[in-house]
Amino acid sequence: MYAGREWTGSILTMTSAEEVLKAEKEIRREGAKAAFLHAAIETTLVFIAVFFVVDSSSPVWLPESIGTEAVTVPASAVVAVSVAVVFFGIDAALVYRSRTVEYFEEANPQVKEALRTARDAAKRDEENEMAERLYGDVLEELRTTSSEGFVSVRRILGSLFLVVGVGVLLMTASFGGGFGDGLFGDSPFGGSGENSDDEGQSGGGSGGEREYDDLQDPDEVLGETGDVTRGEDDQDVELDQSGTGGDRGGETGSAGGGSDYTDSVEVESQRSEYSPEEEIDDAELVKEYNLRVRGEE
Amino acid sequence: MSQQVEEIQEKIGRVQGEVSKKIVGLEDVLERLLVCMVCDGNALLESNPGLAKTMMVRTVADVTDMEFSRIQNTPDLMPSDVTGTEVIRESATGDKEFVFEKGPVFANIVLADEINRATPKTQASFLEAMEEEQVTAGRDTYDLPRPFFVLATQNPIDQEGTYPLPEAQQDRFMMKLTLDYPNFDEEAEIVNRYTRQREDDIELERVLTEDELLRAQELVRDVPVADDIRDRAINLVAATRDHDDIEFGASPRATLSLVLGAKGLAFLRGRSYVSEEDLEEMAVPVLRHRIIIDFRAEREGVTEEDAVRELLG
Repeated sequence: MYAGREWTGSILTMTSAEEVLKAEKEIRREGAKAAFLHAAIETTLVFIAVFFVVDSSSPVWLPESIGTEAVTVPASAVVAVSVAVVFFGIDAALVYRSRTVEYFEEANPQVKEALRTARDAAKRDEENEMAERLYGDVLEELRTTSSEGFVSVRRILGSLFLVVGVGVLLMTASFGGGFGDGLFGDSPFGGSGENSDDEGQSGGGSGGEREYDDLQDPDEVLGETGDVTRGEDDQDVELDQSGTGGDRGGETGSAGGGSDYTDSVEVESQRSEYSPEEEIDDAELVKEYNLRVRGEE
Repeated sequence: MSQQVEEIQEKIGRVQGEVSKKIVGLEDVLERLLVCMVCDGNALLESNPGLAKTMMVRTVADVTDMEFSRIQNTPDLMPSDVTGTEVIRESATGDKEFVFEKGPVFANIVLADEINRATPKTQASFLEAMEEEQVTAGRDTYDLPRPFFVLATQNPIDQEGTYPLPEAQQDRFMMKLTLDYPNFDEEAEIVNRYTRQREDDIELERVLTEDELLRAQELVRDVPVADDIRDRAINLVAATRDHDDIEFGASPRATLSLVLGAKGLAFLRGRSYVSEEDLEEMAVPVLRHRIIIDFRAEREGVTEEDAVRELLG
């Protein structure tokens, strides 16, 4: 014997009392697992709920996004994550504190008093015939018990139901354009949305459209439609040829060879280009129109 | 090892079965009596006459292979009639010498019938025997046989010419058991059983030896008890000292008896741990003779049992 243990060859075997104490630790470990499970599910619910509330209410004190130029995160998501982390810690601690060995005993009444007595006896290091018998009975009974009692099925199901419910609500609101751009539209991987080129187009993400307050009346911006009289503005241009080309007259000219123009009107020479895919002129017009309607110009 | 425990528990169970061959009903009283025995305690049985107190104790002795003696207490009973006395005896050589003649208390089971009819002086002679399990005569001390139990009876009626047991002596009894009248069916069974045959015609088997009983007493003390149950016993006994209806509360000796009794009951029921129910069941028989009800509460009809049950909640 050595310090309550029996030395049998190369194996150090535990006494029954030590086995009971080990079983008690195992029960506490199961309690910790159950606490983690509860806290994880409930934290998910809290995260979604907080994000829902914050993102939909858009409080004035909260910036739209937080981060660097490279990576930005929606502020509502940051708030939700922060609250969720704190909640997880508190919830896990509270549930763990409640999931004691006594809780396990209540959930498994067939071992309740025997286990309680065996724990106390083991702590007192009682090792007599009756105590050994009790330890044996308790360890045998513990093999037939379950730590399922640690998990509150109703609470878990209730939390899951709420998670699904709030999640569905969130998705519905997001697709309806009510909110969610912060998470779905302005994701850090799709651009911040601060670039005016992105606004109102694709949002850089999954395609949500940003809503703008106080938009201008497009008719006022563009003015009344009406017929425009055809105008004419002829200008004389004199071209001095230099380089390798010979003298050439004409109203237009290409600056293909670095020609100089001298007159009262300066004309910038450029190569004529056309890109039908981009439709540059149209895009610029639409952009300008949008900016004016939003009052951002 | 565990097999031996179960074997002894099973044999004590058989004791109950054998005693039931003679005693109809009274299972609870018999169980508590056996608890007293496995706890090495003494019991005070109180009932009206004719409720088989004496028969029960004698039957228990019959099935446990133990020496039994009965002391009928009367006001003129002397202490030496109980413990024994030194007598002058002539030896074979003609020399005369004092020899201690052992009294009836030298037996494993002593039935002290109607103990409240003995004088306080004689009652006191039981004190040393009950507590110390020894008898002192002159300068010599004699050990009583083991196991040793005093199972005393007393009659709550016909108090004329009786000497109620002093509190100190009552405290020496581990339990006070009260026997109630049998119900109709039980009484019918008693009539059927004992009007068709004599008591002696019922054969009993001796199922428990002295050694096994002594072993059981060792095992009972080893029954583990949870801390909170132990604490509840302590608080319960302490509460008797503060209760409004109780003038005089129980002593720490009551706490010892309560916890030990709960262990004994658990052992008898085949368990190796004490449950809350064990403690609650033992509370009344262990405490009721150790407390004195306040006279105002007594006037309102509060009994010792009521007070203990109220404390149990």
